[in-house]
Amino acid sequence: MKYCIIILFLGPIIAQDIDLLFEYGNQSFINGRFDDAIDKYEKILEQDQENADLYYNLGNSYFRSHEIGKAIWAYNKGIKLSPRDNDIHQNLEIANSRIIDRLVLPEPFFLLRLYRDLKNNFTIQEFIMIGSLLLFLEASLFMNLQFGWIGNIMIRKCISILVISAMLIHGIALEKFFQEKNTRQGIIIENGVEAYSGPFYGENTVLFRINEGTLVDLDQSQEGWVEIILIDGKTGWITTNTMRAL
Amino acid sequence: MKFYNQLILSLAILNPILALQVTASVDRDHCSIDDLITFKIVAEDASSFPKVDTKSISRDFSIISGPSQQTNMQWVNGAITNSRTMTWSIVPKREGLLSIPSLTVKVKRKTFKTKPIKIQVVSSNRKTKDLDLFILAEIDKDQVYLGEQVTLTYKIFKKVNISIDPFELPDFDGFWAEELYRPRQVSFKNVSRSGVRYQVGTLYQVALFPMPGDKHVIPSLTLKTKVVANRSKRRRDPFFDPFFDSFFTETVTKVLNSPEKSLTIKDFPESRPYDFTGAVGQFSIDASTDRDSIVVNEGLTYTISLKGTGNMGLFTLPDIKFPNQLEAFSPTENFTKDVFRDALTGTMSSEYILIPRMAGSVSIPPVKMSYFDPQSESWKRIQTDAVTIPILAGEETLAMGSGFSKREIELLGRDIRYIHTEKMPWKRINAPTLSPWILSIYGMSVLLFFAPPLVGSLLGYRVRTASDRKAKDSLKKACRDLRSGTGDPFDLATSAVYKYLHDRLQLSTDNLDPNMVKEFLSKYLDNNDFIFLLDHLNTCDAGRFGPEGLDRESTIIDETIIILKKLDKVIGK
Repeated sequence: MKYCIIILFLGPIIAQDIDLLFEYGNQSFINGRFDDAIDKYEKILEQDQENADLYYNLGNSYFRSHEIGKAIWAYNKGIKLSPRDNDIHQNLEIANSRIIDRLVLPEPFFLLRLYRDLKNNFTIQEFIMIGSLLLFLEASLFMNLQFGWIGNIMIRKCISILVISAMLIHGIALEKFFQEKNTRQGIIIENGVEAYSGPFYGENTVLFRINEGTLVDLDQSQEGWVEIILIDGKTGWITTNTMRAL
Repeated sequence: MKFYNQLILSLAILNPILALQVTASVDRDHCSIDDLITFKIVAEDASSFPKVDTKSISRDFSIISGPSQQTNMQWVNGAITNSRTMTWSIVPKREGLLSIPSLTVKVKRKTFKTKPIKIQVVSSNRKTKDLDLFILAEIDKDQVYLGEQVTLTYKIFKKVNISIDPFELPDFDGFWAEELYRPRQVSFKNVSRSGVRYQVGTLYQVALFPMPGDKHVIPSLTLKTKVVANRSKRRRDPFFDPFFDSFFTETVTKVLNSPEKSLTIKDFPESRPYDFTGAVGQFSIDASTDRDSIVVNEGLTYTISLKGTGNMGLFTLPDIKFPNQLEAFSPTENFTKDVFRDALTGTMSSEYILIPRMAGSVSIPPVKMSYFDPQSESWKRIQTDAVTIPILAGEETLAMGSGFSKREIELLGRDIRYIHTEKMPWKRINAPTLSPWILSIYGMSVLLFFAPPLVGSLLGYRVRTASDRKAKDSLKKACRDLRSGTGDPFDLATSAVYKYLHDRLQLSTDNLDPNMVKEFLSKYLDNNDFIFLLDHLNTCDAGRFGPEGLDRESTIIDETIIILKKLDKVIGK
């Protein structure tokens, strides 16, 4: 009970604190003290709070301090929270044009691309929100039909369309959920990172070198080391401080 | 007798294997600290020289020379015996009862262990003579900072004629050593040392830079010399005339050791700069480019050079963060040492190849670094000037060929959009996917799905379906049709009645006639109103198809309405 009261009192204080930090960060950015801005924004993240604007501003600060890898990381985090924000997309594209390792993948089949675009345009929460609203609409129409307040043939058709679309949307949400749960990704934040064949220096050979800003899939990890998979299928071990997980 | 013959024969065959043995020996087990000891390992009947690991000897002795190898062959009573000998010259490192530990000796694939040998070492009994010949290790300072140069010079002082054998340098553990001077031939000059005239020669000079660690001792140098012996007695002998002395000099081997010296490492003063990477000395830094202006996508060389005196090579030049519009390649590093100096002096440089990818003016920020100046005992910071280079626009076709897509070229010229400053609600990182809002919507949907049967079962009221509603509304609808209808009133009345019955009784068929009505409504047969209805229907039929009932044409509608209302009450019960 005591803690509840403390938390109740602390809640607004923390929120205020975070708003202040955000303000300070913005002010530092405006005055050109980008390191300071990064410090403030990162402090907010340390307090377990986030939003798309925070990541966007953090990305801009990193970009201005020439840390392209970290900037790309922040923009990607921002896009996850706010997938239709044009500003983040624009800045991510500019940051991506500054990186050294550029991998160009072939265009996928147009239906697959359409599906991916659809999937990437909404967050899971949004999908679930839309799905649940459809379900609600469908349930209320169904109830009306049951009570006999309405009995139009059009309504019956509407209900079947709603059922199908609600199922589809829930399916997409589920797929997105499992995809995000099962695949961990990261961004390389240093230049000339050497990927070894095993999780220690010594007799392991350097398999390849990658530069900051590269998006990699993360596989297994060991103390201080993580196995990465590049888009072209190469795998290797790098130290965890050379990348930042998304 | 036959048995003995066989035994001798087999022994003779086994002989070479049995005879193979390894022994270790020294020429004396009692000596003084300056004496040279000859250490021998003899392998008898070995077909090749043994392999010996001599590392463990060097704990108590230093090896002056060796191994020298020697093979002996003997023919005794028709049997050949051979022995291979390896010889080392060693000197003890200290006084006391020292030992050469058991060594592992490998001959071909066989491994032998020698016996440990004990040697009693006593202090030198030729102390007075030492003043004639000795070596000294001189250092220019005995209190230094980490990374500060100490110049070490090994000098030999002599009053007698000597020849110096080639010597091995000691390991400078705890130091980074940079050789300054090593003569091929030691040259001597005359000096006076505490009133005594000596000839002194420099054997070796080295710049030592202490590295972090706990042991900082200047090691002792061991030197083997041959001293020309003075012949005290000279006989007047026709064969040993002093005249021949100049051709046949008699020499005595003497081993010299310089004393060890210890260094004290001073701590750096406080407030060590954050960018201190270990540079100690006096330095200046400079940056330059090979051109004053450049066209997009052409190469530019940016050189940063550090000149000065100090522990160059023990630290790296600072990393440079180039602006984004410059593509930088890994630098080539270079270090040139100035010769003929006592202190390590030179120039360290890093050469970067830069390729500008955008037109405009680009400024490479100043490169800063800190070092410790041991002369003034203070921290110093140096920096280069910022370099600004105008970049002229080139032809776009050139840029296309550099691995960029057209869209990327477009993007290179653009800047990022400005930050967002308005407040957005904060969210906990890794908040659960399903918020209470969404969960409540799901809950409500489920409730709505099951509402009709639930309401029915809870209130005991059968929920009306669409057909129920239709049945209830059937009378109203029939009355409305009758009142608003046009055409033959009999026709109208008939159809209205049938339609009413169809809706009210929820009949499946659309084609009704009086007989069918009678059949469907059999349970109401005893009702007066029903009989009246059947009669009325018959009248309507007659009116539709014949002249009968024309007199009721004006009232038929009203009559029908009255009958239907009465019937509805009956059915409703």
